[in-house]
Amino acid sequence: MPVGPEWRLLWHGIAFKISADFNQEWSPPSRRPKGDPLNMGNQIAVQEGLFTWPSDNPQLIGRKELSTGRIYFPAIHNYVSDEDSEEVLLSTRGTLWTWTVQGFLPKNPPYRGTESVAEFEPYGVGYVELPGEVIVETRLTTANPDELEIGMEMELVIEKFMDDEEGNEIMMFAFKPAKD
Amino acid sequence: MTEVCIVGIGIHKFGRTDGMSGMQQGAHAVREALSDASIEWNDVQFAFGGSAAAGNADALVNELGLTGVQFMNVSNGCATGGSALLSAYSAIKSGQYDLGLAVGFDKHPRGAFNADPRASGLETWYGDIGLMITTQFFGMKIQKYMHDHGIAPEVLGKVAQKAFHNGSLNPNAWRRDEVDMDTIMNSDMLANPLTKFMFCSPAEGGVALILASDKVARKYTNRPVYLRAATMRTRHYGSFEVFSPYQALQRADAPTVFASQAAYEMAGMGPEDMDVIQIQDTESGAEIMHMAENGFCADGDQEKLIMEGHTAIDGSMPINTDGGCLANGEPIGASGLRQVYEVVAQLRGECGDRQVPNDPKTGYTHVYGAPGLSACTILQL
Repeated sequence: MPVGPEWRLLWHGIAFKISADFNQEWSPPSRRPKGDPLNMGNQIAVQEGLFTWPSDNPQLIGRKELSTGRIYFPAIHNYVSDEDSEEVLLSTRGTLWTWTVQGFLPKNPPYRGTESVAEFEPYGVGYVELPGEVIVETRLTTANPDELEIGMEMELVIEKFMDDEEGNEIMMFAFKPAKD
Repeated sequence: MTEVCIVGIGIHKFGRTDGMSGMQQGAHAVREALSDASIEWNDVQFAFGGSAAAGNADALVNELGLTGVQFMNVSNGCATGGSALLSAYSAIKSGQYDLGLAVGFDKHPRGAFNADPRASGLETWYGDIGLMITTQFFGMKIQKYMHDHGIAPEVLGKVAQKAFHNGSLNPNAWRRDEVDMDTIMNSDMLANPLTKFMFCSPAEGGVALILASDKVARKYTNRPVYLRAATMRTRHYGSFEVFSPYQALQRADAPTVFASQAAYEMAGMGPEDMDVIQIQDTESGAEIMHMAENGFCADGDQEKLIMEGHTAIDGSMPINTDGGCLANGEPIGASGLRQVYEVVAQLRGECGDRQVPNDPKTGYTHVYGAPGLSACTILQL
């Protein structure tokens, strides 16, 4: 079977289409469509397997250790054996456990953002406790200390982190103050 | 039972020394320690040493002389110096050797550390989106601690003010100028609630200690300082540590609590017995939290103790008398040994303007760092 670039483009296009049509039921990483770098304007997860994507109702993906019931995040970590664990989808709501605001431009690498010191906007970082599951570290949608309080309700959002060189939108997870 | 003593101390000034490698600063410290103990390099039977970013410590033999000495490198993150000292302690305690060296040195580039996620067992996304930054962890840990125990932001400022004051009295410190509260509180907010002046910076420096068994110690000094305890512990499941994409729901005590309790047990002493104290102050919040983790006060009592001056050089529990990491910067390999150097100098009464009054007899040191480890010592004249 010929597997040239055109064929790959077609295959990914179909996969993406099917997934979108079926209202983005979650599927294991092996069957999940990848963002296609040849397709301008794709929204690509910053890392596959971190959260269900693409999806209308994205969720973080954790890993549950069967023998202890402990849940880890992200799932792709080698904390536990494959035999003693399974992937689990995490709650999209929780409470703010602690927070800070990143006030200076991080060094690149490891930071992937390419903005200048003058362009840099401080961003919120926190830990959100997902009840009965695990406490996850996350970017926050606000960097305003007046809008952040330990114990407040938070909800998961997937938002753009940056555009890559090919014009794709690199998507990351974040938590925002819950409305209700 | 063999006791272990420190009979010689040496230091290379902390801060920035252009034109001098970290290794050379380590060698400078060793020569000073040898001289302090009135011995030669070829008298040294064994050595343990380390640096995080300035080369293999055993290459110091190129600077000091090819005597064939047993020289082992120690690499243990922020506990590198503490682990070198603990190793040297064990070598003498076991009766195998009578005289040896523990040395640590470093030289880091300017600015915050830029760690590689993969080196910590993490994936690249963690660095990509800007979470691989140590200062965030410090901000978040003290944010929660202040919330839970009702500590005001001014206490953070007061810790930094004290550090720079003590640094101004220490000729080996990097920061020699006092900084007032307004400047500290209103400087750039790096990681809420911590401002620029509340953080230490990566830096350079070297420290060396000569250790001897009590059988021979008085050949080298008339004031041997006994190393009553040297301990090192790593984290448990549930402790809040740097570079953690997740945390357990259940909470566990920090590694400091375990290293500290083990040290008190080993020495047969308690926190109330310590006359001079050096604890890890990577930033102002760390000093506050470590006061409680090391048993010097209950959670929440720090505000009163700090604001009323009890942790000052002339206070009831003098903490970080040499200016700590805030005034000395943090050369990772040397930082833990700097604390021991300071305690030994204090117990000998050699600290001049920053000398703790009333002839201190016992002292305590504590380091804490990535990836969740701690090392403590207890020293006694």
